[in-house]
Order: sequence, then C-alpha cells, then structure tokens
Amino acid sequence: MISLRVKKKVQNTFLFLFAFLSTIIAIIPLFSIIFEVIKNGIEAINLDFFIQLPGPLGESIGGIANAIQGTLILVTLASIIGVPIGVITGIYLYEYGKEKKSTLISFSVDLLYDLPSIVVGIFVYITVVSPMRSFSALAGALALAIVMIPIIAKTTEESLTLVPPTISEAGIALGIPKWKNIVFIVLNSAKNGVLNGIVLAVARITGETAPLIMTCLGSNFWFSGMDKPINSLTLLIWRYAMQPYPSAVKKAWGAAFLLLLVALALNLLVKSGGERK
Amino acid sequence: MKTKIEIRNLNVWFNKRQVIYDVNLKVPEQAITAVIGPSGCGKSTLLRAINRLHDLIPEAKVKGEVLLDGKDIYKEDPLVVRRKIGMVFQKPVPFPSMSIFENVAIGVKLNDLAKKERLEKIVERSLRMAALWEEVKDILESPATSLSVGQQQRLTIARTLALEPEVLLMDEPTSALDPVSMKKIEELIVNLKNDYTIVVVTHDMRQAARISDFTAFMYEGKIIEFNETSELFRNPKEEITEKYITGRIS
Repeated sequence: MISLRVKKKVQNTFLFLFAFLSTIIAIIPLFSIIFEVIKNGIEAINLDFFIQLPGPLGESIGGIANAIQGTLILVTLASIIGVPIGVITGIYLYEYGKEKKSTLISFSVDLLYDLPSIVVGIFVYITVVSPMRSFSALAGALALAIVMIPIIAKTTEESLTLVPPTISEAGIALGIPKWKNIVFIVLNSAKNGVLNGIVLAVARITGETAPLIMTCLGSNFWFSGMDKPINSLTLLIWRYAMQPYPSAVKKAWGAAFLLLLVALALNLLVKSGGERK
Repeated sequence: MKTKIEIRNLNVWFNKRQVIYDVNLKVPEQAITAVIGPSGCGKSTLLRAINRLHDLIPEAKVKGEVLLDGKDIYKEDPLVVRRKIGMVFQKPVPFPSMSIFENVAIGVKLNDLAKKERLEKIVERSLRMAALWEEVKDILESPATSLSVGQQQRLTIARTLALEPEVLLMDEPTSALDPVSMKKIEELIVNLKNDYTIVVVTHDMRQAARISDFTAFMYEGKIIEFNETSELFRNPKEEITEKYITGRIS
C-alpha cells in the first residue's frame, strides 16, 4: 500500500514538474520578445516619432507618423468592408450552416480562415493591383478585409450558437419577423461575443504584413489617396529592420513597441468584455 | 359562452411519431381553460400548435384546423397569428441584453405597431396589467436579468401583453417559480381573464382547480375529457381521468 502511494506521489510530482517546465519553455520566447521590444523600442519613442515623416534613410531625425496614419486608415477601411460581411456571413452560417446545401460555404469559410495571408496578398495583387497598375491603399484594405471576414464570421457564428434557442423562440412567439428576430433579438443577445470577435480580428489585421507587401508596398510620405501606395507600421518594421543604418533599425523597434502596445490594449479590451458578460 | 378558439381534428407529428391524435376542443372566450395531463401527454405540443410555433421545426407536421373567431390560423399570416395569440413559456426568458423597458417595448417596436411617443404608454400599461409596474417603475433602464425569476416571468407576460393579443397561451408558467411568485402569477392570470382568453398548460392539478374555469384532461396525445373545472374534478366521466386526478397515474 505504502509503496503504491509513494509511487503515485512520485508520478504526480514528475508530471507536475514536466508540465510546469513545458509552460516555462513555452513562455520564455514570448517574454524575451516583449523584453527586447520594450528595451529597444522605448529608446525610439519621442514626440517626433509620432508626428514626423521618416525622412531620408540613415538620418536619425524624423518619425513614423505616416506609418501610424497608414495603419489607422488601412484598418479602418478594412473594418468597414470586413465587419458587415463577416457578421452577415456568421449569421448565415448560424441559420443555414447545418443544412446540406451550405456545407460548401461553411467549408470555404474554414478554408479561408486557415489560408496563409500571403496568398490573400497574391490574390489581391492579381485582381486589384495588377489591373489598376498601382499598389494602393484600397488594395491593402481589401486584402486585410479578406483576412478579417472568416475570423469574424466564425466568432459570430459561435456566439450566436451560444444563445439559448428559447430566446429566439420567445422572439418568434411575439410575431417578430424572422430576419428582425435574428438581428435584433438573437444577435443582440450575442453582441458581447460578436464584438470580441471583431476586436480580435482588428488586432490580427493590425499585425498583418504579408498581404500588405503585395498590395500597398509602403511609402515615405503621407497618405495621398486610396489609389496610391500607403505605409503601415508592419511594412515599416519589415523594411527598416533590414537596413544597415542604426537609426532605421531604431525606428523599426519603436514601431514594433507601438504594435505591441496596440495588441496588448485590444486583448485587454476583449478580456474585460468577456468578464462583463 | 362564446367560443374563441376551436380546434378541429388536430394531429401533430414529429418526423413519423404522432404526438397529437384528432384533438377537438372549444376554448371559451374570456375564461381560463386549463390543460392538464401527465408529462409527455402532448399538452405543450397542443399549445404550441395554437400559435404556430411548430412552423419553426422542420420535423413537425400539423394537420387539422385551429379556428380563431372562426378563421383557420393555418391559412393566415403566422406573424399576425402570433401577435393575436401570445405565448408565455415555462422558464422566463427575458432578452438578456435589453433593459426592462426595452424588453416590453421590443415586440411593438419590431412589428412597427406604434410610434415612439406611444411606446412609453404601452410599456406602462403592460407592466401595470402584469402587476409589475410598482416594482420596476424607477428601474426601467436596468437590465431585465437583474430582476428575480418571478419578476422576470411577469415581465415576459407584460412583453406579451404589450402586443395587445386576444388570447394568452401559458405553458406551465409557474413551474420554475417559488410559491410566493407562483401565487402572484396565479392572481394575475385570474385578473387577466376579464380581457383575454387564456389557455394554461399545467401539470399541477391543484393549480388548475384554483384558477381555471374549464379543464381539459389529456392523455397519450388525446383529449380524454373536457368540462367545467369543478365538474371535471368532482365527477370525472372517464375512469382514466379519475385515476389521474386521484393520483393513481402520473
């Protein structure tokens, strides 16, 4: 008996240590990234960093204001396109996704969800950039919207599924037409989950680089039109981090720090939203 | 007494399984009709057939007629039918993301039945009729989920009344409630019969005896007996009715 208990205790301790160490190994890279980004990024932060154009490569003056502006424009525009389509797709999947004829659609959404974002970039390059003969803000926003749609569609569908069927039934029993019942009763009851999905999707596209390389190229100037190239934080990091000039690398660190803060803020927003529920 | 709802040869199937067999029933106007019977006898299914909730379930098939004032509701617009014939469910289901006010107003609002200015009056009137106004008049903007379960059930009754229905269907409206809340709802139901035709499904025979004017006893998908409540409980005509009300079958 005693030996069995000792054996179990040893097993238990061993497994606990194993799980604990695995967790530590998993989060070491995360913390070292955060540490490095903060250490190097904070040095780059000053007022000019937020309000000046980058200036000539290699000069230590200037900031990344046009990249901040570009990211804001791209994310806003992508959300304007992607959020309604994503939410409506989610409603469709919830309402009709279980039916046989919709198998193809729900499968496609899953596929789109897992699609490497560089492929989305190539798709938009072929369909928009190439015919327009120009890299453009519009193309970038479209690419980001395509990345966004399946994320929002899936979270919307999941949130709707969590609403008890009795709620939908109660709405129907009040003589409310089907579509109004879905939007104003069921979707309304699921709105926290849907909003969380939207915030997560925004966080995801704010950090996307690959689709933008193929679509908006980047720029050293302010935003000058939807049909012109535009800069973004991720594009700036991608280009400047590879430069031999320390001042450019420093700006890239600063931009990375800023992105990290945005990601942190959005995730905290989702977390607090989740607790509100 | 005038008949408000007449059910003729009603049959309901779920897939191939028949749940309701040839039910005929005349529900009198401005009275409370109780439907009693053991669990699974089809009383809820019968009730849901009266406001066409089975339309939502692809597996459900309904055959027969349900006449409201002589017109078959299965030949009318289901949305209009459901506004005229309101439904209160067993578990109170307030819309969780809405305030008390919105919960009562939402049916009227989404059906475009009243202008904004009139909404406040409709909400107050409905909450008064549901005997909830005094308790909530100062917290109309609070979430509906902050109310107690008994209050929530009165709220869903107010929500149904806001549409000014002619008939109220209630599916075991007190079975999820504590005795005090149950008593309040029962009083409320009795008060409401002056203005509405009410059908209450209940498995609580004493409740049927307390509040209803007429009682139908259902067993295995059929209506075995229908009579004035006092008569049905005192002199049941069928042996099986007697067995049920004396507790020998459940």
